[in-house]
Amino acid sequence: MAPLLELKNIRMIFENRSSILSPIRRVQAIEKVNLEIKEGQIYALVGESGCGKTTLGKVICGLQKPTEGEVLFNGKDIWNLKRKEFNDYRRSVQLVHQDSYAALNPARTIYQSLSAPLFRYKIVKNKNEALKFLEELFDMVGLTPADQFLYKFPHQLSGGQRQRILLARALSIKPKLIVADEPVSMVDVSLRISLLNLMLEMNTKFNISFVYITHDLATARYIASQGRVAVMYLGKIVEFGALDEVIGNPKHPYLQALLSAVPIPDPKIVRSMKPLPLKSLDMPDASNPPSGCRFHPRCPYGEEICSKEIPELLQMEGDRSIACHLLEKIPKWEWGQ
Amino acid sequence: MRNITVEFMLRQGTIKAVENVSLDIFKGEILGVVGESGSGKSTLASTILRMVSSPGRIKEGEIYFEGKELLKMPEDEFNQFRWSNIAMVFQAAQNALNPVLKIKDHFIETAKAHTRMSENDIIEKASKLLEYVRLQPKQVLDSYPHQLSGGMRQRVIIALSLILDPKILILDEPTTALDVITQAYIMDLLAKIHVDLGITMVFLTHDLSLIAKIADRVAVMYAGKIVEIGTVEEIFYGPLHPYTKGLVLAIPSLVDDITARRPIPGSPPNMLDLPSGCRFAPRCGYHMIEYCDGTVQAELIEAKPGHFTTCLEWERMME
Repeated sequence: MAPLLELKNIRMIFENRSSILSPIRRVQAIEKVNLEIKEGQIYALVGESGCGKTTLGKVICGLQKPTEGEVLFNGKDIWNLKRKEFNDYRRSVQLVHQDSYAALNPARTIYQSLSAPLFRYKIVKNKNEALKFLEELFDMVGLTPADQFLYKFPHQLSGGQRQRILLARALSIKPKLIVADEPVSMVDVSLRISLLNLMLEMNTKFNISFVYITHDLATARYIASQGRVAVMYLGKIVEFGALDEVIGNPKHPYLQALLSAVPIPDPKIVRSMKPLPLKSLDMPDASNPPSGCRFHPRCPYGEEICSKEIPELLQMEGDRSIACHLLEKIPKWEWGQ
Repeated sequence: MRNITVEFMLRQGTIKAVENVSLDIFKGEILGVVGESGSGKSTLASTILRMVSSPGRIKEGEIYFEGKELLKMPEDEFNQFRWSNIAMVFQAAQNALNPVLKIKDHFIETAKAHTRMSENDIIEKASKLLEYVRLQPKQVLDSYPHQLSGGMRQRVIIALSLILDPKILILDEPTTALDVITQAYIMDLLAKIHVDLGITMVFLTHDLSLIAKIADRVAVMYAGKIVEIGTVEEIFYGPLHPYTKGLVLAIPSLVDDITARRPIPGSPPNMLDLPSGCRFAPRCGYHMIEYCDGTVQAELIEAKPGHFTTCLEWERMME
């Protein structure tokens, strides 16, 4: 089956200068990323701050035009589409932001904010239809009774409720893909699971693909347990594959370090975990990334080749792929000591 | 701490951010305080240092430190006491540094405000502490905060909190806004400080997994009250309050059975309009109408030695 959306050799370079006289600083936010997003699948994009995951999300949504490379939607490059086709793409790919308060107009009621796209895409003809539509939609995302929410302003709702409203808004125009950028990181811990469950339900019910962007491997594991994960480091994907395989048997030294840094909410397990397998704590400057493998200055296994040659993302069995020169030599990773 | 109540007077009414909280902190332990946003844990921490600011005020309660009552101590005496006995690392601490002061001036300013150390002594001690948190003192002392990364700034703050050899260190969400790897490093560092220096620590966070890693005992806060206190094992493997149990079940982790995760239904109460009985009752699966909706506030009872809960139905939780 042809992918719904395909990223081909995406490269994204930001240029800025701190003052008019200083030289241009180039930051490679994304370096040669390939990714296929298939219909009805869930993808988790995982990495630390500055790894380029949010930028990649914006590229997928067409909010950021890549410096190089193509974004293919149904096989066509989105930046060469006719206006009508581009509108169709825009409608099919929706973004849910991290900060639910910033994503809603504070001066408009929820009804005003959510009915606008319905009229815009002619999903409803009049106010009565819009109300009926939104009531059904709110019922689905667990905001009942709908009247209690429709005429409120964003500040009158809790973070979890606002995030549900954003999901409802994304859902309302029947998209094929939702890009969710850290959708639960600002929501209370006790409510996170229910939002993740809601996204899973939307995935099974409507066959909507999800790109779930996060720094939190645990929530990624929860939402994409049947899906795939791409682990990013300094603008590159270093490991990709089915989530349970990747987390069950991590191969890239960076992913191994990341996994041993994730705190586990179980005193016995977390206290038996290995210390960080890392040579240095601090992330290198993205405007001047290390030569060769970008992880080599911090990698405990680094050899000469790692500082000289850039490792390709090589496909292993299945659709697992890993970018590491020393794959054969990296010891198997295990939980605990 | 005995019967602490902290009020915030707002136009819409009075909020009791912390209500009738009693808590013991034992020498040499790491006490974890866990609660979601708005549960009152930061307010509780500020109360210990008498730093609740308007419109909030400490309405009642007593805090004893080595037998001395802190809340009634005269202001100038308390200023000497603060930081040299109890120091605090604040939430979003990376922004707690003054952007126009060099790191060394932070150390000098802090130390001079509370003691009569000479500048040379301060710098010498600061260098040792910075080395201890694995920073290069020469380079860091002459830097401005913006020249350091988030993780480095957080380590500076930890060094700064230790400059006067406090007996208690209060850490309020010390690792939020840090990356996972940096967070793991800071946690290891705090554990090391605790072992090496024997400092008593109070670790406040919303993140149960950090508590699992570091705490000896845990106090769980919900809507301004402590609902359960127990050892870390008791809290994780045998909680006696439905909120604690719900929280433990609600957190996705990397090793658990995904299908066992359950959200806690409903959402935290509006602090202006609290349920009359147990504040968790509207969300609770063990809810018994007769007791839980009563007009009497449930108080902490010692269910097992050292294990306290406010839940009236705690015996059912053991089944």
